[in-house]
Amino acid sequence: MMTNQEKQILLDVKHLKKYFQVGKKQTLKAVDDVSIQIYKGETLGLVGESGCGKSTFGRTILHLYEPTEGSVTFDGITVDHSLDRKQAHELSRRMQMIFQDPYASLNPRRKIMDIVGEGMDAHGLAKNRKDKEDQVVNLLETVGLQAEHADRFPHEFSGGQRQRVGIARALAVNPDFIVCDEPISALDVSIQAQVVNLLEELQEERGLTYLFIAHDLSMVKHISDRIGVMYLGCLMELADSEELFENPMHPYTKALLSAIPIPDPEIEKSRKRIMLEGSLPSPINLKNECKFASRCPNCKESCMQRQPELKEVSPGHFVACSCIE
Amino acid sequence: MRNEAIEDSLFVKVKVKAEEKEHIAAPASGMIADAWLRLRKNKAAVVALFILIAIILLAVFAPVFSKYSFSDTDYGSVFAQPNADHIFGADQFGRDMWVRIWMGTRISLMIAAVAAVLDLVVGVLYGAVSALLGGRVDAVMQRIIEVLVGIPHLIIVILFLMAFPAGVGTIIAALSITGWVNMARLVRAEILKLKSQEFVMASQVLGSSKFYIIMKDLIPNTVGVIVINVMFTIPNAIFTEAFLSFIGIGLAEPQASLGVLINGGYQVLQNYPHVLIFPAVVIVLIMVCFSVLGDGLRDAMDPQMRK
Repeated sequence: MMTNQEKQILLDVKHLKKYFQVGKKQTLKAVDDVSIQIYKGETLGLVGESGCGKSTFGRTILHLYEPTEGSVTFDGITVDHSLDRKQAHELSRRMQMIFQDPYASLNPRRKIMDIVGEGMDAHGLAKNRKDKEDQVVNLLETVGLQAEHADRFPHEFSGGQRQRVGIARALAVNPDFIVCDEPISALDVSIQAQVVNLLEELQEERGLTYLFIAHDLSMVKHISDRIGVMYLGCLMELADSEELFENPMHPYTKALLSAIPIPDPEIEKSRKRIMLEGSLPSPINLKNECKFASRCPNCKESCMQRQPELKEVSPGHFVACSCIE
Repeated sequence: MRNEAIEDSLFVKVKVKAEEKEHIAAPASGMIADAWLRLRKNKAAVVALFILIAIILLAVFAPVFSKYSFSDTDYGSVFAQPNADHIFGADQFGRDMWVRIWMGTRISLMIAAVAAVLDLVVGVLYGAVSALLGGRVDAVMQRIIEVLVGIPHLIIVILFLMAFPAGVGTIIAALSITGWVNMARLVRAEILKLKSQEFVMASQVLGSSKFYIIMKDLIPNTVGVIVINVMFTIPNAIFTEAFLSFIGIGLAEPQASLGVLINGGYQVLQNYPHVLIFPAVVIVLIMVCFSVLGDGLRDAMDPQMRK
């Protein structure tokens, strides 16, 4: 674990909001005022149920979506329209993404050589055709594939192999920061471990920083240094991963963690699940109350006033709940 | 039990090399080679392809190498039955049906080619621009298409033929007004679908230019839809021309098109059926073959259909 002094902020997200207009009067608040800092070399896990805005958050950071409000600062450079083209292009090299669906994220009409080499072409990282081919083969070997695979089409690969091609594509431009958008949720369990181990090895070798978006809690615990819990577009709790699992404070986090099965039948029998009342409310046109108020077991009147802000309750442990002081 | 004789020590662990684990047995192949491989397995499509090639060759060369011309009359052989001289017989003016049929096929194929080019150029461009620009431009372009679709196709074509002199040019012009609409809609839908795919997003994240994304990500993935739609547009255009000629507002005598020939044969059907049968068989062959080949191509070009 790094100490506070060593931590160097790589990515600073401030009050990021991404609203989608649904029809004329309705607004879908996919990401609603999220502030988070990601330190160099760490893995920040982001968990939450489907539709809570995890993926939208990751995509907005990379400017795949135009943020409605708020700012993203990467390594001291604020990403917005004031950047000139060259700077924006260079930023796009340093921030990469690994996608969720290995079947949809590779162009079915292009060979692996072209898919992995695309970033090199876009940023002029290869001197000539031969150099590009060598680099691609190197990358393929780094992710456990072989030189002969470069002439293949994506449909000839298995899901795990495709995901590794996706990783090689992201690595091709030597990024500093990679958003992993549920990179393992579409894979078999045995292949999941393979891909996660590969990601960890690469992080060690290349000093990468990850934003690891997932909904598999035990996998997130394994790979992350810190974990953020999202609910309906808001960050509810943020803490070191050990701390979060041992001492969850937010009622939503508690409920989430209680849902993890324990691989021991004796303990599993006595495991108590906190069942949340009701279902996830629609993120369209939410009222001004705490987002979790409708399902919170200890909802008070003060919770109906506004969404509480993230507060640091112990060093490095942030919670957004008005019941916790 | 016999099984008890098998001891654990008899089992040897098979060592699989790391390379072999990731090995892909099938040979690497490109998109066109792959499509051709799968098309070849489809017997009907291959037969259709060869029949079409034969028809095209006959349409090009048969009139050139015949001693008759499509408009030469010979009153000695009026309604001649098929024989060594007149392979398909002769019509009411003693004109050789063999030459007339292949001349008619030429016109049908020419109209088919124009319809295909129109589809490819206007339809694909219109659809792609509409989908890529989106927003207001897309809305206006789609309304224009809806207006064109709203007016019955045949009414436009018939009005057009009334207003202008009959001939191949007029028929082609009439077909061009609405012929590309279907293609434009299909291409638009396909590109809209592709636009939000993760691999397009990946190209954006990698910092690829818009031009690159259009040329490498979007268009190659619509080729299947485009080819297949062209294959279904062609018989439609041929049929429209034949229909117009049949009801008498298409090509005029002595020019021959399959529709004109069928119209002539239909009037003497009871006495001289061969004058109807031969052109009818040719047009049926053309239409069925294009449809079967189109079906085969759809299966062959779709990567999801791979077995």
